Amino acid sequence: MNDEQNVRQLVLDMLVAEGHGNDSATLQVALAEGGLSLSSLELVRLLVSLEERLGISLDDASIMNARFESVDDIVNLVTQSA
Amino acid sequence: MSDVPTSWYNVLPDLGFELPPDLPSPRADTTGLKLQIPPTLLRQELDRRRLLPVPPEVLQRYRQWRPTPLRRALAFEHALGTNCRLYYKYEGGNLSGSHKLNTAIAQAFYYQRVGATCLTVGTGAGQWGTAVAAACAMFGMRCRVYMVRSSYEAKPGRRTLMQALGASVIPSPSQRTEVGRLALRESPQTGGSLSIALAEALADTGEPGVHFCTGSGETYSLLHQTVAGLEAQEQMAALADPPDVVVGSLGGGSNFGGLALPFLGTMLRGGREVRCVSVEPSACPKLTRGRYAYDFTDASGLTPLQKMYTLGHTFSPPAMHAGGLRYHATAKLISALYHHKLIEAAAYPQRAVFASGLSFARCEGIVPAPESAHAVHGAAVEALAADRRNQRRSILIGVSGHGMFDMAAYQSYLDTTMTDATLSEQDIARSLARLPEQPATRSLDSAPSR
Repeated sequence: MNDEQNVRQLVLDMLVAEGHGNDSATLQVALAEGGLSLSSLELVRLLVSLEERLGISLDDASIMNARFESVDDIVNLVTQSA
Repeated sequence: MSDVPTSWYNVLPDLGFELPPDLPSPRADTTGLKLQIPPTLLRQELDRRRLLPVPPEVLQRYRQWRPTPLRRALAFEHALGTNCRLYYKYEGGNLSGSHKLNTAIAQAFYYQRVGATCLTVGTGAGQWGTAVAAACAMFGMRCRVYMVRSSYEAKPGRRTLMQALGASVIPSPSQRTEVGRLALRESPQTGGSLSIALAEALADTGEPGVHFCTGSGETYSLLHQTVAGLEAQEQMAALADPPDVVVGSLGGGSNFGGLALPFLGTMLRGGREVRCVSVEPSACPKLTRGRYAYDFTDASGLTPLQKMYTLGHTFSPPAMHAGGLRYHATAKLISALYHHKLIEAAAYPQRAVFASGLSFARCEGIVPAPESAHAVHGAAVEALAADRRNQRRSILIGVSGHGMFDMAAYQSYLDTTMTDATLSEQDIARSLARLPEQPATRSLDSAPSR
């Protein structure tokens, strides 16, 4: 259910919904060029939303130790926790 | 009062508006994000439950000195000649000597849970540094404190206490960090500022397990501090004399918020009316003369931007003796409350503040910290103003800490070398001119709610 492709699309859709881009396709390109450019609070808000949508619980230490440079980093964290 | 509150009070669901979002720093490396703050603390900022549970490990520590006393200041009332009833909530009766231990313990607990072995902090008057040093000692962690140089030199006793707790204490600006070296090149004799100390503490996190412990003005810090206000609510209810006015000093915002938010929340939910009055120094008047704008939270210019009442992150206040109130801005939560006209603000010069502080000490047997003396003075002004209107008010004062490490400050008042620094419009305009570029107007800028 939480396969990489689905999670990636979910993350992109959530970022668009939060006003980080017009659509997920252009957002993916923008993120690749400029990084996620999220504040810490926005990142955790996104992770909390993912927890609720996917019915998972992300480990605080894993979040704290990760470096988030792209959507893939979020996808990896989520799929490894699922 | 039977026991310590087992939950903190979260005002966010009662506000009726959202806080303005933090923005990534326009100058920071945006190609990657690594959280510096334990996710649980950030989750608390996103939580919309009214009561958030205090972890058992934190509650166990709270019970070492809490509940803190709430007393009526009868002798001080008599000295003022007021018909108002003055109560004070005293938060100085713990190892750190101030309210700051309430959140330091919680933060140290959460940092350790994500693998931290050492916390770095910036401190002005030394209260936050002492509190984190004490919390680190409790949880077996190391601690490095960057202490504003003027305080480091004026308060050797507080420095010694932090060292006795096992912390390393470094006067800021220092040669250990690029921010410190830059500040010393620009002004070799500088006494430092809290924003520089914070920036140095943030920079000194290169080793594994070392984390910067932000400080006491974050929304989660105010949440933890509500343990004081919740206790006070119950204590004053037991006296059948709930406050008409709550008065607290304002630095980063945690002391004032911790005491005032539970009372304010009750009012916001349709309960008893209360006026919450913050008191700041005339020499650092962020609410009364600052601007509501996005700004950096320290002098590095690399932090995320928060929307706050600010005097500008480059603002360095003139000489004054309440180190804990020297911060250039105040918490975004307190700032939003002021913007929405839910709280009030007053500013007073330090000689009047110390006069009230000494009077309180002689009457009540507690030397208030210079920060707390601002609240004492503000409450005295409130009481006398109510007398002139023939109103017999119940007034609650936040005495956030003791002043036993502040004898040099009290001495300067007694020997009349203390002065009231003046702050011109040009002084403020100069630092406000260096605010970062402001983003497009956001929804919070709509008309205040009341």
